[in-house]
Amino acid sequence: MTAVRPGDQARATVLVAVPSDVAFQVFTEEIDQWWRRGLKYRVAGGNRGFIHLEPRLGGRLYESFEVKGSTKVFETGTVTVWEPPSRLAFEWRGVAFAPGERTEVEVLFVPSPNGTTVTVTHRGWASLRPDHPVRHGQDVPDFIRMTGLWWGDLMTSLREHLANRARPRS
Amino acid sequence: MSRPAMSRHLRVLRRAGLVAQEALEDDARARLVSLRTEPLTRLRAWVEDVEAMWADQLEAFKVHAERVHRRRRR
Repeated sequence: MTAVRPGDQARATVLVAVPSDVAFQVFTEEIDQWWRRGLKYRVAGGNRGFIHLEPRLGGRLYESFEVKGSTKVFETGTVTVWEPPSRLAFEWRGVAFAPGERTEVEVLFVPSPNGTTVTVTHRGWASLRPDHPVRHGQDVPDFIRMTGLWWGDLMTSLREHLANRARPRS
Repeated sequence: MSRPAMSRHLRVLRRAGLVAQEALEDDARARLVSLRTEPLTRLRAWVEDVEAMWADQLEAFKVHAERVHRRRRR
């Protein structure tokens, strides 16, 4: 069954064979352990680093990693809904986003007879300016990679670093 | 819908790139407005890519969460 929904929402669902409190806890506290690695999924790409979600309302979701011996932090957004074990939401901003441009990710944990249904809804894409990089038919891996490359003073050093050393680990 | 209201609606759509407007040669008062679906198609394609990324991530989450849960119950 396909529900009618606004065209700027992305949604994905999975059934996990664990209780909802475990699902919520693992999703948030252990995000670095399950979040896929490599250029396709992380700003850090193949660099050493971690993703952390501060477990509270207003907490930050960020990636911290090493570039040429110094630690860089990329903040994706802050937690806007913290309702364990059923609901979580956080802002999602890429580096190429202009001030005021933001998308939002909502995660629902719904108990089911076989575990927990986890649904991610990522909304707000239509609010991005029409000439935004993500609106130019660019695919997701390219965009995520670009957010890293475009990141302020990291622009040059990270690009060189990634080009020379990092290869996606999947 | 009133004429000014219609103009306002069309202006919003035009700015969003969703309609194109052209003048007609034989009638200075008339405007031909046509729908442009390309920006919507592009957005939809992007959203589908984002969905594929999250599906991928949730699969990794499932594998990890179920492994952790089994380990804890032992």
